[in-house]
Amino acid sequence: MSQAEPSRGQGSSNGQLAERPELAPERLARGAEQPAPVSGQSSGDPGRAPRPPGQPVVLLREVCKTYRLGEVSVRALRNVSLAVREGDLVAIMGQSGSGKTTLMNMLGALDQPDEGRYLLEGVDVRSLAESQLAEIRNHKIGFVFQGFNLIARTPALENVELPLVYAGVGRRERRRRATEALERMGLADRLEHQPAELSGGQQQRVAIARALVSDPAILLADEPTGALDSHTSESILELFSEINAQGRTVIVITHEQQVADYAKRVVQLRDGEIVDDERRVKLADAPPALAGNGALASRETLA
Amino acid sequence: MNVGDGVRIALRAMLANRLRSSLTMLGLMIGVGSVILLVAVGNGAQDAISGKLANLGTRSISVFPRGTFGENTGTESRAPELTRDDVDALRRRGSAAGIESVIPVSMPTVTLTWQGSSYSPEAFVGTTPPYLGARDYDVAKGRTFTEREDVERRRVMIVGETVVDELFDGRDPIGEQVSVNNVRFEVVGVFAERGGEFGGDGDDIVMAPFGAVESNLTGPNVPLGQILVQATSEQTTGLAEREVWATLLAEHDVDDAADADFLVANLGTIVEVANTTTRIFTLLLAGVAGISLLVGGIGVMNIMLVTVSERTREIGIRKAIGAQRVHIVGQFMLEALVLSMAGGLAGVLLGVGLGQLGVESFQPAVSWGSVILAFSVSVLIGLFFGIYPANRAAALRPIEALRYE
Repeated sequence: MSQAEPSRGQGSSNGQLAERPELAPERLARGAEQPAPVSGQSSGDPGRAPRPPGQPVVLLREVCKTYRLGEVSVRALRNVSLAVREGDLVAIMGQSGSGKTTLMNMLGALDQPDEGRYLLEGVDVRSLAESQLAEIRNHKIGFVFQGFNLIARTPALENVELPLVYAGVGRRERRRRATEALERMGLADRLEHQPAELSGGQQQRVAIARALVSDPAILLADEPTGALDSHTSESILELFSEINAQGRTVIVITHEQQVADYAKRVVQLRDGEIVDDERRVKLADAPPALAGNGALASRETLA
Repeated sequence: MNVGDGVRIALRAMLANRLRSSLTMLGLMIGVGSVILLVAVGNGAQDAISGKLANLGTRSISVFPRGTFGENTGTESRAPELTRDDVDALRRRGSAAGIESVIPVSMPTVTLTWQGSSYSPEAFVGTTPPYLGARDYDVAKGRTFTEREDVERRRVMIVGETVVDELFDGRDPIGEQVSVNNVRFEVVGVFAERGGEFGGDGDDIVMAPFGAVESNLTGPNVPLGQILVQATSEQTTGLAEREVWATLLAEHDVDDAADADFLVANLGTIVEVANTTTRIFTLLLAGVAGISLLVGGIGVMNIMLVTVSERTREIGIRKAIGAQRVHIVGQFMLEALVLSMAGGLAGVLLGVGLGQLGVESFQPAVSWGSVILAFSVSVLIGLFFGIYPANRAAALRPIEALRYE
């Protein structure tokens, strides 16, 4: 019941977009043709209401998070403020222990800040109940994990369908949308394969298809290339670039320097604080991998 | 998410762990199967006992001398406890007292001799023809003896199969002259087989007219083994029983029934007592089987807890992509339910199947009530023991579940 308009979205002009990056800002307008908001939220929901491109999708204000491990308390995040605007491709970099996983959990509505506020598409996550958080994760966030995290012994198609199952989408509709999402990932001939029968890169693309199938506001990737060889990593990063070029906000959390080369903006995290925030490519421009200049652009794209 | 999706997920999880699932189901299967089977055995026993007792007739009132049951009342010096006089006194009361017939039963100890072989049957019964009807004796070969033969004290007798085997070595005994304690009796009939009865051999019996036994074997006025009174109908059994008491107390010159030197037993009462006993026996069996069902249910809980902790990461994934609490609870409850229903069904098949097997004269009777009860209890047990693991799964925090290796 969430996104009733099947024609909208990445599918329709997938290929052309990559070739015509100048159209990207227009594609970013997720506003006017948006369908009705998700259940439990009023029609005035700022997340789904029409709004100009470039609006912050993610807004962290002085967020603090402290963990207690027995007697010791670890300050995982200290006064982190971050605004990510629609259409951006952000790499959040940091060594292990820098707080990036905590930040990822926070952004993904898997965890709540102790102090400060987190607004996802204008909705204050801190004020939400458990069931509403589940709904947010279902509708607004697409997760991609290092370990792919597909459900074992379950065909690719059913894995991709899962978010729609939880959203209450009818069987035929979700099958259609899941098939479409997998086809876009180049996995049209792998629909009935189980995770164990797929390569790492293929599994990650199934995971990306699953993340995108509910048309989320942000695609959140946690070390998405951590378990992949360098060639497959590149193809996955290019895939992210294309997804971003189609207007989707992408946030990648990683410790790998290579990933930064694909980002429009690189945020450095150390000891729970943001120590550097560098914009490499203008928000409205195409991602580096598709920009047509430099080393990255010479690589062939996946789509 | 609808039930169909849930069942599919549950079945997939079960198939992924075939051995574990089947062992869990085995527990419930044995539980449900044994409830059904043991209740069937109890019912079968009840049917068998009340069937046998019904053979004896619910219109029958038995009068025994007190000494029959090993009580020494210190009356050796007194007149015999039950005699021909008692029989006559009861006969005089007649149908006004609800009495149809009064049957004397004497049971002397005898030795049968025929062509050099001899044999002592378990029971040698001297009685009148109505006894055969009252105790449901059928003659398979030959004939019974008649009222007239009784009155004329004719020395005829009917023998059971065991006697045929032991004394006649299986040959047809009709027309043979047998020496009973040196008095010749002619065999006129053979009883239909009765099988085991109350711990004895129902076929190890010889029956002869009361008159002939009295005048040839025991002498007059011997103590009777039993007097059997047939009431005119089931409704008059109570009246007849009271009349028997009154008549015999007067006859024996006893004021207080507690001092009576005889016992009166109404078969209807005996049937009831026996039924109560077998019912308790059935409940006891069902209780024992119920415990195994409970153990099977704990097995379900055990396996569901293992499943939940094994699939912690999967639960984390599901929560991360937006599963609500109810989805996770539903998934694991359904899994427990599918397990227990499958186990319950298998148990029904097992119990009903084994319930069809009978041993000789004993046939378990499967009661559909117990089938439905055992199956629904197994399903309820599955639900009950599924609640805790399912809630534990749903309560997992997604980040911790995702971190779980």
